[in-house]
Amino acid sequence: MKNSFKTILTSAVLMLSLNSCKKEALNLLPTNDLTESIVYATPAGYKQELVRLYANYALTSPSGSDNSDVGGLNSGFADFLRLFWTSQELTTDEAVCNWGDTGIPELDNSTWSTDNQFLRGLYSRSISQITLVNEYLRQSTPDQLATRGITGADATNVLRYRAEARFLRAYQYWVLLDAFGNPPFVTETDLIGKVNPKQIQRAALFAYVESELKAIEPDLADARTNEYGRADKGADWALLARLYLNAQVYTGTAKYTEAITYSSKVIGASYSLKTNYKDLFLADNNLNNTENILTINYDGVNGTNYGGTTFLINAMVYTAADAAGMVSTAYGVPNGGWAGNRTRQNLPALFPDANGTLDKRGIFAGPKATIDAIDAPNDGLKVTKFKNVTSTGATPASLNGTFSSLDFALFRLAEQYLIYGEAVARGGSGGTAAQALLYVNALRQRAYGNTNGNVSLAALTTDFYLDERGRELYWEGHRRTDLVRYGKFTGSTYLWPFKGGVKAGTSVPAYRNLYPIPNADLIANPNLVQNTGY
Amino acid sequence: KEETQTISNVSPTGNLTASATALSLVQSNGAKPALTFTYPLSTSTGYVVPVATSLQFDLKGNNFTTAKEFVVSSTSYSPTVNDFNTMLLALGAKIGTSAQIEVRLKSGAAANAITYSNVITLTATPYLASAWIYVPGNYQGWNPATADSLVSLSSNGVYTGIIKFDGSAFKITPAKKWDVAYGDAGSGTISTSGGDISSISAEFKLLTVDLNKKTYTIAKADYWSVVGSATPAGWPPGSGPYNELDMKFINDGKNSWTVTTALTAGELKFRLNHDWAVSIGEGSGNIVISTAGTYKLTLTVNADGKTGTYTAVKQ
Amino acid sequence: MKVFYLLKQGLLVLLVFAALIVKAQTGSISGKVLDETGQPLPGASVFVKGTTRSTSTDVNGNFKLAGLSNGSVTLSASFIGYQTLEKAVSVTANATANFQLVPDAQKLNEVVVIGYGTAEKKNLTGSITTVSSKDFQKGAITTPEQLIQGKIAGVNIISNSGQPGVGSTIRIRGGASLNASNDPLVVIDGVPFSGNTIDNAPSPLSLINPNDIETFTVLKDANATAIYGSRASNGVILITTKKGGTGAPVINFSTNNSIATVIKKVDVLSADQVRAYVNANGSASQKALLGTASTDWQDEIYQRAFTTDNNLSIAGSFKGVPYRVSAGYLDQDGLLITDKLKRGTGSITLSPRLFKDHLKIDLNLKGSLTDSHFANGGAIGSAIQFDPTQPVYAQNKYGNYYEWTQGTGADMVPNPNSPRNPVGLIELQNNNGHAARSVGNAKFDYSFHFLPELHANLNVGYDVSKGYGAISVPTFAAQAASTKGSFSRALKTENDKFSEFYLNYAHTVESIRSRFDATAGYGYYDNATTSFNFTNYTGTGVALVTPVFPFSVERNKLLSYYGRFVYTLADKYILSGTMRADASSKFAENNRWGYFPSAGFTWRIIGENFLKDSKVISDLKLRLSYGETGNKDGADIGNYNYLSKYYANSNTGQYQIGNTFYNYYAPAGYDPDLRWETTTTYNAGLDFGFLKGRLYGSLDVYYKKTKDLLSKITIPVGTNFSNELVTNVGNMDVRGAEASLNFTAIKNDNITWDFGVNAAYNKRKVTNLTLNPSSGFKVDAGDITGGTGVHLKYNAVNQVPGSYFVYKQVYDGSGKPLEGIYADLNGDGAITTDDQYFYKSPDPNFTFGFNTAFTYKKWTINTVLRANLGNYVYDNVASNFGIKSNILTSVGVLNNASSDLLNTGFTATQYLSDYYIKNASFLKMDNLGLAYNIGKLSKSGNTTMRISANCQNVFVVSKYKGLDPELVSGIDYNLYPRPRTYTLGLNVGF
Ligand SMILES: [Ca+2]
Ligand SMILES: [Ca+2]
Repeated sequence: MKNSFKTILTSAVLMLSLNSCKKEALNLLPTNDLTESIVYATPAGYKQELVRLYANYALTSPSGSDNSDVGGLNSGFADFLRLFWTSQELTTDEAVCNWGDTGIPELDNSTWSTDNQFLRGLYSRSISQITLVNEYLRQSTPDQLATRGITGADATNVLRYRAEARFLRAYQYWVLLDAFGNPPFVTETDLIGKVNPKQIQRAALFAYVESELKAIEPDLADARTNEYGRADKGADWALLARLYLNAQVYTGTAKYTEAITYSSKVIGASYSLKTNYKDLFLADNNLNNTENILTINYDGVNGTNYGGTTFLINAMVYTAADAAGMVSTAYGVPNGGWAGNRTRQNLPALFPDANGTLDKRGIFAGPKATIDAIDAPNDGLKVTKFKNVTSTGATPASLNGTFSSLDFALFRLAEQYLIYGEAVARGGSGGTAAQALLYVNALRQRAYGNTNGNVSLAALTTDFYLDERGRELYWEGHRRTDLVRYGKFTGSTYLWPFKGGVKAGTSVPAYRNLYPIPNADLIANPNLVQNTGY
Repeated sequence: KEETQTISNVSPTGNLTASATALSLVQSNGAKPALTFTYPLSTSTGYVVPVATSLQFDLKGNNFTTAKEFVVSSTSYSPTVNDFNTMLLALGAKIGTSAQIEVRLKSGAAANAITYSNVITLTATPYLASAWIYVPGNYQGWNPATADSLVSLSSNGVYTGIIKFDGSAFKITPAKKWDVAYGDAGSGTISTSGGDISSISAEFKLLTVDLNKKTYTIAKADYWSVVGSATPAGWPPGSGPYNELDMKFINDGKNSWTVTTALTAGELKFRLNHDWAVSIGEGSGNIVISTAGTYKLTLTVNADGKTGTYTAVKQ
Repeated sequence: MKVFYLLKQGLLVLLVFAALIVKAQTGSISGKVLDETGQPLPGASVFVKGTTRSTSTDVNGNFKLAGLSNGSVTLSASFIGYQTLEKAVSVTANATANFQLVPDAQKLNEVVVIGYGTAEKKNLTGSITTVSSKDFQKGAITTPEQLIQGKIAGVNIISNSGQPGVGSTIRIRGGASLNASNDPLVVIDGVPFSGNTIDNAPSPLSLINPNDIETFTVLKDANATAIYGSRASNGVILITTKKGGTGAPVINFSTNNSIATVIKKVDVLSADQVRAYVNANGSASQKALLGTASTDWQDEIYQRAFTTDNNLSIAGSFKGVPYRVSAGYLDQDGLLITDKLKRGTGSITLSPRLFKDHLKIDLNLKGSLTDSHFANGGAIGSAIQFDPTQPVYAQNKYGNYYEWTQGTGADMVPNPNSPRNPVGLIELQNNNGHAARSVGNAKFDYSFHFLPELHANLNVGYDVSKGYGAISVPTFAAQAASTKGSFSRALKTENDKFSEFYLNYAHTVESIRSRFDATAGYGYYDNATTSFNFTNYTGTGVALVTPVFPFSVERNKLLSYYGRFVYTLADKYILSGTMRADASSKFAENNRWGYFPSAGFTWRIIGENFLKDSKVISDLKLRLSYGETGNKDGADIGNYNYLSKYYANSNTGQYQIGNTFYNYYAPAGYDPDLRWETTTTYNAGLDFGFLKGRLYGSLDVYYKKTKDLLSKITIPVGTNFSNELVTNVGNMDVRGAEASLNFTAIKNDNITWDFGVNAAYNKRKVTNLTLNPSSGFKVDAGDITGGTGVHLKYNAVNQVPGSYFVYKQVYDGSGKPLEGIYADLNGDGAITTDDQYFYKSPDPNFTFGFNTAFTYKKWTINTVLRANLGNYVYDNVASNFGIKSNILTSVGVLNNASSDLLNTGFTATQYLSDYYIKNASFLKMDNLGLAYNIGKLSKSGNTTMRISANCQNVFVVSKYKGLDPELVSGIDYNLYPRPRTYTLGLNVGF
């Protein structure tokens, strides 16, 4: 008995000593997650992490469609393009949505509140992208590269990656500059933590974006020489051209000459228009495409989310036969069709006919153009230009018959033609109206398939360009910016159904040219001051 | 709920009376009231909410499923003879045929709380009241006196016509003079204070103007032209520039087109939209012009849009 | 490490005390202990006060204590359930003393388990309630926590649904956390029980066989819980299982067989009502969609469910070692067709006592195996919504289950905007799960030979489980038409182990009428969960989504030191204090240690002279306590949230550059300063008893204040890799009061009639939520089903957590809600989000429990009722389905609607109207039972038998018209109905 007691006691002591853990034993690490030093240990790691920055444009989260990087927002809403599109189109004459989800009706009616979840989502998504880029820049300094033994050609590559990362950041700052005006401002010198970012004023942010885009130009690949999906000098110039075209709005000082300079640089590179307008918006638009300058790439199997072009297509497609006779199969989303987005009658009215007979850019469907009630699902034509079908009629593989593989162009040549023309019409120097006419008619010849749609020099008024941009670029995320530039987004000089919440349309106060700083961030960050008027 | 509910007592829709039930509609009385409806407006007490009241009109038997609605804000409503006639035609009543029309009052504060009044049945015979408005514009030198017109065959306030625009601007005048002119008021609406209306592009457009709603739409239209060896431009080449001789739309409700032109002896054909896909000749062949001279050519297209009849009258 | 040092010093002092004891021996005392009827009481304990000398009576109630020193001593005789009796005896060579004990209804001498030890009920300083097997809920109870539903004031147990084996949400005093868990810590026979769900298995607790459980002890205030430190903010439940006895084996067999039925279905339109509605309101194309069938889809998916629950146990003593072995087999069908749970359980306990009881060993081993078939729960919502004019079956390519489709021929696909056939959803999905769990521990309690009052206690144990399963859908099923079927697998294992060691020293110094009781210990806990990842396939075997990693391990450890000191003066004044120091791997090194102290003072007023001889008052005790506890667990609190780390993308989150799809790592948001949330609890309690305990009860009031709440908040955008972070911010108050009363109304030879009533008031309030105080700040705390991202519940300052945030509905004179018309609360003339207001919450203000048992000879009838007052429910079924556009859709299908459509006539959804927030106060009869205790079947034999009949979920009285007013989230949507169950039970003992 004594012995067994000893045994028990000994084993007890043993057990204790086995378990009695040192302090370090509490330092546990996750199984599959890595620390930054391992992630960035190799040149391939730097490439992968650059891809992560691009992926942030396309996905709601690295974990696929059911997760969201943007907290507080449904994962289906949380990708960049859906939020950007919503902010640029739903509040304009080009689009309306009949869903009752919190925040959508007030965007339809130009009465958004400072709590609007979509605007907050866009703001958060853009700044999260910036935060990611900042981290990338911190991890790729020459010192870091040296420490990690990345030298020679590898280091040169990383230099280019850095420039692309800064481009992606500059783009998001442009989004914030355009939509929110005076956002919080963080760069790679702001470390992760709880120090509240300072607010930057709109003109200063313009100067920052301009300087960044100019600074990275030499490090970027020449136009059309980089891998598909990566930014090059063409993208850099294209954003500069867009930035300058709107400089009057952003800073009060016009920069049309610079807009001409940079759009000319893009046009002078080896881009060319795709032969058929409709092919720009088909699921194989990543192939043989010399018009797109930079795209967000989507894939129905490998990179899935409920935003992006999946949203653009499904939100437009109606499944019921009596609603415009649309069958989702025809749009490459056999299990989709969310019946939400339509256009207000103003957009089809820009076209000679709504059937695309003459101007083949007008791709609409539906029984009724007029919006009498936003929640009447058959009020307003459906915009059917985006299809998850290839030019040969095939439907790409999709995990659930809903996800789209159609890529979306952030920049394409046509926009640069129109920037050039508008900047000339607005008095910029360095370009001619005659040259502009060639560009405009190039677009119109593609649209008509012949020269019947050609316009004369006299037609190239400033106002013409707003309409032509509508015809060429509708639903591609330009409209709000354009209407603001033309002074038509607010005020009463231009009305559309339910502008200001009234069926006939009514004046909207000018302060709504900017979106509000989201209330949640105003509360969280005492450094921020709300935009005037809100 | 245990708490006191917020209650809004909306009075039910009141009694509707009409000054007459058998109406005699005469165009010459157009501007005079056809009849007068009187009724109380519904109001709310307690928590006050806006109550919308409207009059609904429909042909008897439709049970108001296709009703026309007029939102009212005073306790009486007197449509003019013209307005009433226009509405009858819009509802589908036949010109010259006595129609029975039902009227009721509808009011409520919310979509799920609508009430209706008694139904009154009216009898009236609509008259034909076709009317024209004019479209002076850049395409013809901004002259109302010579401007193309739009027609409203039933005089229901909705005017249509096909005009060959030049892509530039135009306005709309109710008469062949400038004293009243409608211009663009944004998003498809017109007003007398509006600016020029854009015709968007140089081509034939079907222009529709609704003077009831003060709206307009403009859309590409089919059009006809004359081609052939008898015309000044001769037969069109396989490709390349060709000066097509376009015809002009006639506002007679018959889909007729006309052009007056010098012809030489030769052959010609009418074709649709500058394209050989649809053309009209003599049977399946060409139309032969044996004597040179100035002709007025008139083409009346059948309902199928592909066949028709023509006349060629030497001037 | 200051704390540990202090504890060590304390132990040394104790050892010195112990060394002061000296003894001398000569005489003896013998005698008999009898019960109130004069029958001998075997196993009663008799001890000499002020010494360690004790013995227990034999089968005839006799005892003998020898070797006592001559002189006067006080002898104390006690037996569980009887009042302790003391007698002064003069020790001689053969002194005698006989005792006749009287029953004590209040069981003040009962020994109750507390954290790391036991205490007599009368000496408890914390707010502690024990329920033993005799008082458990009866009937078809398949998961342990339901045994005590309604039995304890301030403990709310809500079964999450009516699904077999489903767990319950247990809230002690409402819960003190927001995003951290509000679940109490459960300790079974000394094993901290993992509350993690195992994939493919029913709830964690349901893997324990309720029939093996002897007592539940609930620790509510911080004085009782603080010794569990960082896991104790939401209370602690200690479960002890049945142990072996003495002597010959006693065999017990029980079988319960029951039928479960659906009490109530969701009130939707009948087929004829739908036909009438569509014909009256629909367009021609909608009317054309009407079918001719009359299908009650809810009848199609629910069934009468049979359950059999059989248990066998053998308890006894083998060669002096008490043992108990039990086995159970449960076979339970669910209300939803094809739902099934089969569970086998086994347990062994051995309690050897060695070295003249100096070493007590307790070995517990429990195991369970389950096989489940899970019915597709999506059918519940589909059955509400599916058009009742359509038939269940129709000839088509979807297995001949009628479906809404679009397109024709080969292009035909199921209409993506319609519900799927409910029966097809169930019958065409095969979801099988298997789980195995084992919980075991070995406890060694050694009382030192040289100092018997010093105990060393070692407890080592484990809790391991494995759950695995597969879901397959055939190629032709409409529910997986896009992928032509599907196949997925899951496997998860959990491996928790721990060891605890403490020293306990208790000593009474009669001279200063003082008793000291000190405990100091150490604990180490290691919890690891491994999730395995598998490729998902289509029905034709094509890989759909492949995982990046084969598995991942989630692990955390806890290292602890704890101590308790109780000082009792004159058996009247008790001062107690506890201290725990915890270090968790969930936090960075500089935030790792948390210190959780508590103190309590108890005044046994009954011990004062002025009450000592009272005939009326049999107990009176005042308790005052203060303590701090922590919390660090919950679904939102990851194991590594303080670490800066990069996580790999999934294969559905790749990105294409050039022609290559890339994988990558993404930095995750993190908070390096993450630490415990801390709850401070103040408690005042009064325990009382009258008429020798025939009427007794207690009264408690408490105030809890949680600071550094782990809550998900919006952080300044740009400061982290996410815009929301779970971090330590905010404060919350909980105030409450509890009362319980037990009364034996009649007690005589033939009749016993007991009543128990408990009542609790609880009010939670958020007092701060932001780093920068702001009145308008609120955090989403619950979304509704319907509109995407429509938030209904929020956490906000000055509100109950999870309060509803809605518009104030305007009604017409007849009480009908006016669609879309809301009160302009801020009076600006427009209805905007600024007009939303906080209106009610799911929290009940008052909860009540009532139970009574009436015994007449061999018959017993008993019942348990519960009531909640002030809890509100959002009727998401009505708000989502009770609208015109749900029947008459624009997507080419017809649906059914909630009958609430006939009340509102709403044409479109009005999700945020306060109309849908309904008073869900209720009174439920949980249980009504009748038992006949035959007793011994024959005079000579030992066979006993008991027969019982039971009905559970007897009735519900509530104004709420939905399926069931009792909902944890407060949002009523697609609840798996809780059944009414009729049970016949037979219990045989040998
Ligand atoms: Ca693609
Ligand atoms: Ca208001």
